[in-house]
Amino acid sequence: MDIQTNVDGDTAEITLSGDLVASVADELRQQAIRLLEEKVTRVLLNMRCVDFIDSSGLNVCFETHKQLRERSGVIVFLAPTRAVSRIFKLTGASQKLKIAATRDEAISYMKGDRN
Amino acid sequence: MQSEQTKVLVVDDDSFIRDVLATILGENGYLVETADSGENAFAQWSSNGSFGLIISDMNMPGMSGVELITRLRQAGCDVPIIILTANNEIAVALDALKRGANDYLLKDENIQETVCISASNALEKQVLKKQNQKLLHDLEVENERLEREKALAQNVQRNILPTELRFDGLEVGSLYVPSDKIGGDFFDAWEKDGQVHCLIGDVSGHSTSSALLMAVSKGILRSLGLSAGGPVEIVQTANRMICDIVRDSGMFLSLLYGVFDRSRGELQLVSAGHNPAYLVGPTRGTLTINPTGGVLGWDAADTWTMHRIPFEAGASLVLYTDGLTESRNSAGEEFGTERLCSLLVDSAPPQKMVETVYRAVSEFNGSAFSDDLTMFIMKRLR
Repeated sequence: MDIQTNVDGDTAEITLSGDLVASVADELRQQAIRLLEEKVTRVLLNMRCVDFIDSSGLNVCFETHKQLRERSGVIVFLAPTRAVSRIFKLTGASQKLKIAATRDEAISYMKGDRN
Repeated sequence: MQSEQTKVLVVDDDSFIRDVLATILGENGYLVETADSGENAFAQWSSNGSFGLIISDMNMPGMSGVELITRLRQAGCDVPIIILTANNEIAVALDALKRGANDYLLKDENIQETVCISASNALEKQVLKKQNQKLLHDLEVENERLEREKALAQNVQRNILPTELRFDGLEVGSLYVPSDKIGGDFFDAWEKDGQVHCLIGDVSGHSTSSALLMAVSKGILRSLGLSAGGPVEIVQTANRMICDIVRDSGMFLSLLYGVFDRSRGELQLVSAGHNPAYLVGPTRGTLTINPTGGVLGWDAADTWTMHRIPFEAGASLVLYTDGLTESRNSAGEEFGTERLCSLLVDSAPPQKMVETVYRAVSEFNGSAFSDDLTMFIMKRLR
């Protein structure tokens, strides 16, 4: 799994590619912790190239969402693939996490247009 | 680098060389002993094994340098050995290196400097080698300890799962195959007031915390299930308690909780973000049981709805965790729900059905199970 991060003030975009599973999930968790320490409160997680997610991966997604929420921040999951969307839907994550189909939608949500 | 002085044994039949080396090494802080033959050198080492370094000539009458090295190494001597060679003896030097010497020195006009550099390097390497050996040993010991702990934890997990499941008018089959890692799957079943409760759960992740949450969740659900309330109330209360435990860790578990209400002849099923379960036969083919809400551990205020399905005599409720359907073969293909459904034959006894499925998955993935595999089948006989 490849993790690329771009930080701009209080906003960060993380682009993932590969499978979001077990040991990889841990790397993402560490990255999220670092971003929170740097006072990032808005995160865009680009899921376009994530082929598969397991319970450890979902774990990190939930965890990051909850931690940002606590800091009045937000995380948006951009364009999950079909396999990932299926897991989001099955577990009910699609009802809890903010998922955006397009970048415009994601940015607009992060800017505060929450609907 | 050394807090104590290193003792060096200089071996050469030529007294001039012995003296020159003893002087140089002595001036550089080493304690030197000398031997004039291979035999004496070996005897000195055997009787007083506290040498940090041995420097030996190759060409000696009696026991040669190569023989000395061979005997020392065979006797378990791991002290660094530097050999002395003349210019035309390189082949001998190479042979000596193969037999366990660490370095060679040319007996030329630079020997005063080269011997000190060589000695210092050899000793430094030895220190590092010893440190490395100790670290590896400590690591091995720690690894063994962790493996033992893991085996104990796996035992506890296996023991808290029910083994004897007998209910009047029902037949049960089950399978629990944890992966090599600590497991997060569990299942349970009990009877209360004429109703049979059953459940299957899958905790996220494969760490120690997953195992802990598995044990705690199983306990919570059984306790709630043995007191009052229907499946929705039980799941909602369990969720509140579990949320309090997992807090912001992101941990969650999927769960399918079912109650066979004998008086109504129906199954009441709550599926909390769990993979599709099936009700098979006898007259209505295979019915898919989808989630009626999200996973547990997410939000204490979450609610679930419930399926109510008639449980006909001859029908089987098939519960399993995603380790089964997500099992992959060498081509990366998933076993999938279609293959599973094709194996669910309503007339087969539950334990047979479970074994058939297990064999099929085993053949499919070449016995490479990357996740826990848990199955629970409950058939109504009458």
